[in-house]
Amino acid sequence: MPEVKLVNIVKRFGNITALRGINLTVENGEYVCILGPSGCGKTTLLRIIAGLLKPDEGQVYIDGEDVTHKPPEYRGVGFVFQSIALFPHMNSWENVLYGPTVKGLDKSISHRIAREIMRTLKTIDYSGLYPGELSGGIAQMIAIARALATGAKLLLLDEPLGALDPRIRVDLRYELRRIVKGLGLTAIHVTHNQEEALTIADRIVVMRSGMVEAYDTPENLYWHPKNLFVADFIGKVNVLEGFIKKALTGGKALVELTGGISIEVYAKGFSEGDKVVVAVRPENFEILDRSEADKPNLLRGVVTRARFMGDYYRYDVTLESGERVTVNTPLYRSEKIQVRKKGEPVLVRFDPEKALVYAYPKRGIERELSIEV
Amino acid sequence: MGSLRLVDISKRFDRVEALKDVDLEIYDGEYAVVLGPTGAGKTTLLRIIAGLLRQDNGEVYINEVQVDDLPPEERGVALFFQNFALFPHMTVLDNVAFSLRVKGLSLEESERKAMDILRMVHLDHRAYSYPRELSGGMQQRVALARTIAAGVDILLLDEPLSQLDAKIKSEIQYELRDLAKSLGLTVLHVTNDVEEALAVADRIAILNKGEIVQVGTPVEIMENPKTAFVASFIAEMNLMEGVVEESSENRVVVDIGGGFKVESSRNGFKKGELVIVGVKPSSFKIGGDGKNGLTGKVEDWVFSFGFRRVTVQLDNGSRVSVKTERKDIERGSSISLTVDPRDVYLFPYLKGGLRTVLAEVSGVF
Amino acid sequence: MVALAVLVLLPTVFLASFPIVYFDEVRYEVFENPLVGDENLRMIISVLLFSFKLSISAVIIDLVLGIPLAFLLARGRFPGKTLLETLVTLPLVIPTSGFGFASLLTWTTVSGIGGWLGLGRGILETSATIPGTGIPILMLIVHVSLTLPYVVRTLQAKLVELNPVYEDASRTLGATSLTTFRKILLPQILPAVFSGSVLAFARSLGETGATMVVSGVRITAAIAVVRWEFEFKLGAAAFLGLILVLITWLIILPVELLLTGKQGIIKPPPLIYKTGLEKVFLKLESKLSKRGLRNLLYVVCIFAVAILVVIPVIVVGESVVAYWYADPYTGKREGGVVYQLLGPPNYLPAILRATAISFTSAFVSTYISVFLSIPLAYIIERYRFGRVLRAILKIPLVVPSSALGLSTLLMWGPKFMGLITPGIWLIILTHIVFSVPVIVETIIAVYEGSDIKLYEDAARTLGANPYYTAEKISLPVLKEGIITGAILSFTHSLGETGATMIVMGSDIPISALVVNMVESLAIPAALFTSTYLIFISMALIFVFRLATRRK
Ligand SMILES: Nc1ncnc2c1ncn2[C@@H]1O[C@H](COP(=O)(O)OP(=O)(O)O)[C@@H](O)[C@H]1O
Ligand SMILES: Nc1ncnc2c1ncn2[C@@H]1O[C@H](COP(=O)(O)OP(=O)(O)O)[C@@H](O)[C@H]1O
Ligand SMILES: [Mg+2]
Ligand SMILES: [Mg+2]
Repeated sequence: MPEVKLVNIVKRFGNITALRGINLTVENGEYVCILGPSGCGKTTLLRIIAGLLKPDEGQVYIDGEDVTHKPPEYRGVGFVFQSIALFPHMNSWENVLYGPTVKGLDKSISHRIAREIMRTLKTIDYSGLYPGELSGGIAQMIAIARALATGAKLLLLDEPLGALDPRIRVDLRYELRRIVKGLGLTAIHVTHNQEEALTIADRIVVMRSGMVEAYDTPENLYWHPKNLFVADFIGKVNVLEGFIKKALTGGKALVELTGGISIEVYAKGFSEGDKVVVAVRPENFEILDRSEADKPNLLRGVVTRARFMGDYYRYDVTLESGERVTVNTPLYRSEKIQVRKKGEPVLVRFDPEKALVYAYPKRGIERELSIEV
Repeated sequence: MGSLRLVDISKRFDRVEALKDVDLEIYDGEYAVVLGPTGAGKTTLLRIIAGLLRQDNGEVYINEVQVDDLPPEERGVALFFQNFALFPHMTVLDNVAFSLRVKGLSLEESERKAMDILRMVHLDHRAYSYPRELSGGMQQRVALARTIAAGVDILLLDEPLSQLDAKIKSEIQYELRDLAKSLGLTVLHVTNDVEEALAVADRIAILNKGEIVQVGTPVEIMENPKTAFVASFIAEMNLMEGVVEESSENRVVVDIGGGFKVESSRNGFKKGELVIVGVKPSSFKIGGDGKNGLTGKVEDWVFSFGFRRVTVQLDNGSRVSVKTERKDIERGSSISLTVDPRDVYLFPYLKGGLRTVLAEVSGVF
Repeated sequence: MVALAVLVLLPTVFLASFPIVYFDEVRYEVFENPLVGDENLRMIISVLLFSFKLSISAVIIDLVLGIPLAFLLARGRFPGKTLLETLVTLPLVIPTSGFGFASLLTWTTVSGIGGWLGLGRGILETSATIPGTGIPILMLIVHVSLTLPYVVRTLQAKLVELNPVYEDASRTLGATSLTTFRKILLPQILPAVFSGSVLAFARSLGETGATMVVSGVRITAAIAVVRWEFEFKLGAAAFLGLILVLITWLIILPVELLLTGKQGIIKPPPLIYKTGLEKVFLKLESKLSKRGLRNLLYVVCIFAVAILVVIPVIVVGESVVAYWYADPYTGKREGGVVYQLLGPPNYLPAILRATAISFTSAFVSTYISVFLSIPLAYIIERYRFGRVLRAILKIPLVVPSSALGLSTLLMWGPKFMGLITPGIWLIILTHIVFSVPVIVETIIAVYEGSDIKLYEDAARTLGANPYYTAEKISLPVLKEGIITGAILSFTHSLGETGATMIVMGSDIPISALVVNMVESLAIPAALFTSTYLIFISMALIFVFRLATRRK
């Protein structure tokens, strides 16, 4: 049963270091997403696991066996490409049949395997069509069937939904996860789309510039990101600067923000006077009427942009301090939603337990959040 | 001044009817979006407006002047190409200055103006680079600058954000709209991404298989999708087939099988008629004892930005998706759902039923 | 268009009219000659058969060497790749008669490999044949080196264009690299294999310059055309020329039609799969896919290129030095380069004059061809009938050059229009016929490889009219293609022999001079001239490369 272990993988292309020492373990049966901005080394890492590239340093273990020097055809992994890459001179059926055939299996056996996998993936109706005649979504399902027909229990997917329409992507996410879980496979799926990673993965590897920044479950990454970069990369955060004014009881502290307003947050391990940043997600802000001005953690501001986004309203609010924050107000949270207009003065607040507090980054906020190190 | 009017535009390529009787009016200063899946005919539409392609039928009016016999360079519209089409043998600055030089501006003046526009998109520091030396996001901004530099009042943008990473895109889309508004431009922007359309549009026209199926503001379309296709494409509504059992003023009861009946406060459906029922994932309430009780089993849930999306296998066999902020949903457990009749949408039944609609939306299942 | 028809297309097809118009003459010479009867006809049949045997063998060897080389150049990453690429394509740009002479020295004389090995003689007799086939080894070697670039270049271009993701996919699906080649790559490059082979075959069939130098007593069809023209047996020459043209057409047309019809993919019948040989193949491929074996194959191919191309160039250079003052073996001054150039044989003025003629004609014909080619390429890309035009333009590329020369001679010369007598102007007109297709093809390759249509559209919507767009966008983007085409055409023109010898009259260019020297056994002079020709061509290319790379 496939379990993947990477030990200190380093890969250079000329003077670019694409991977700088990756250590990672993917458990048997797990669905792991590798999430990171373009150019951070995701594809390189996946190709190294598949054996399509050789690392300059480090080892790849699959099921405890060191496969670092094994050619791809003997690793027993299925690979799915962003460009789909169905063989253009074969129809869907021949594409799926390819793996069992080149393995030298008997004709009757390979046909049975291909038929079964295409049935499972509901693609058997398209057997006779050539890649050019298929829509993107179906073509990718057939490419997955082709990868699985080899008997691979480890599925590597390189932005498998990247070439598809956004709307189709949403549907296929659930379908992909269903297939992987249903067949008991291990999957490593590369993407630069946060929502895709959150909704599909058991655990997410966040990568930046050839390094692993975080490796955790979607909910932990979202609620307790270990640094400011991860917090901002997994769904945006609004960053407010300030310093610890006073420690309060129960793990709380009072932070004075740049604008002079003090707010309450949960913050451990800081001492008075420490420079900090308070990060709040747009959906964890709420907008209040002036009548509710007695609640804690209130910030005053003016709406500078208001957009209806379907399930929520998105407001940009310029605070009195001059900082600009984004507030998302989901429609489903309450029965009555008051729509704010551009130029309207508003109060913005957040619950202390929903704010994330980090020490002020040494290299400054902009550098800390930048996708390059 | 920049208004645009399309009358009855049709275009056919050998076997495909790319556009069928498209009527569309875009007002001066408006930011309009044509939203539709790949292959709907969006690029074809823009190329016809720009004069790069001749329609089989219909007329294009720009500022109320019929332009069908004018070549592209005389139409007064600028087209942003989906894959940028930056001139590879020219620097960023020369690319942006191209249209200024065409107009006969001197070398210095065209460079000065091009530099001003590059500053607007924060790329003045890369003015002397060649396009291939820039990242996708930067190339996108150069292409935008070049389109703006054409100095025309009407911009046609062909999926201008499609090459960007999700995160960059989700921030830059708002800036694109602000920029166009601050310059007083009229924009026709085409895309296949619903979120992008909502983020930028004053009005959205939904294009499907060469036909415009609905036009309206984002709120209008979201609250009142006209067809099951729009409902599923735009709002990811759960769709179910059913038969109208009772129909009176503001109350229609639909039998969706398995003993489930749902009540809707929409009008206009007759007793015994086949309909498609639509419910947004966020309209379901978990537990509670409101109207329209449905029961089922939690098949799976996934986490997204602060909420969970729960897949429920209803006891009548259909599968629905439920959006909730609750954290106590267990896989495999029983669940009961309710939905306000005001949130139950009804759509006319189509030949082929639900399958056809879903196939149009996702092309798969 | 008129210029095109008159200058390029008409000469190509004119030959067809000759045997009809001058039917009596042809009949008299070929079929019913009172002196020798149908001896000439039997001659024609025998040289044709011989030519076929030679060309087919050359193509087979081209494929064996060319496929691995093309793969290596398209997919491999190793130091010296550019060098290998240059070496493989060198025979395209060095004059064939000079190259032929270099090969002759290398294989059959003591100055060549034989001498290096200390044998005291050449390692081959000029007349040595492959046992049982009657194919002269030396001729085969020369033909392989001269036609290999066509196979390698066509395949390499196709492979580069193919997305390597299919190979990756195949490997992850469990196929070894050889299996991947057979099942994934081969079906996709099959069209290129065909068109490369056709080009190579046609080239080999029509090759004259080098062949005349190394032929000894055996004659190929292309040489026969030139010989008979010299002997004023115009009827026989035209008849043979026509047959050559017809045969090339017959081979090219079906291939062209087959390839342009389908989207460039040929699905081979699943023969292996059906016969159950699949498993045997898979096992074999799995064994042969071992890294070491693959690398061995590459090394063998690279080695072959070195022997075929590099050594002759070195040998000829070295010999010039050795022969400078005197024949190094006999010690006679009459056998030295200096004596032959400046002494009584006095070849120097002839060489200088030939140089002037060669460069003038190459320059003028390339210049005119560039101007004809740009609008032509544009027409081909823009209009529906362009595809037909393109197919027609391929004809001069593959028609044997001596037949082509004969055709131009017959058309412009005294026999028909009587406008131009053989000489430098006729050389220029002839060279235009094959320069235009070369330049057009390179421009089209760049045109189709870049998104130029998109750029033109962009320019139009930015307010530029079509003329401004052509000047500022299309031409600059195409510049690279135009320059490459011009270099190819220029060097081709410098080295062309077959057609040139037929139309040159008394204006002997340098490539023909080499042939004359060899035939009159002025070896040291031939040595010097060959070297001079080869190195001038190489220097020119080097300068062009430098000039174009800077940007
Ligand atoms: N074959 C290659 N040659 C040179 N550089 C490469 C190659 N493949 C990737 N790179 C570089 O390595 C880095 C990581 O690339 P990649 O793994 O493709 O990133 P991602 O998939 O995250 O977008 C990039 O800077 C890229 O330019
Ligand atoms: N030049 C063309 N030749 C033939 N069919 C075309 C051409 N351009 C577009 N089509 C077809 O017209 C339809 C609409 O294409 P397009 O306008 O590019 O859609 P979109 O931009 O919405 O993805 C598609 O079915 C496409 O295949
Ligand atoms: Mg990648
Ligand atoms: Mg498009």
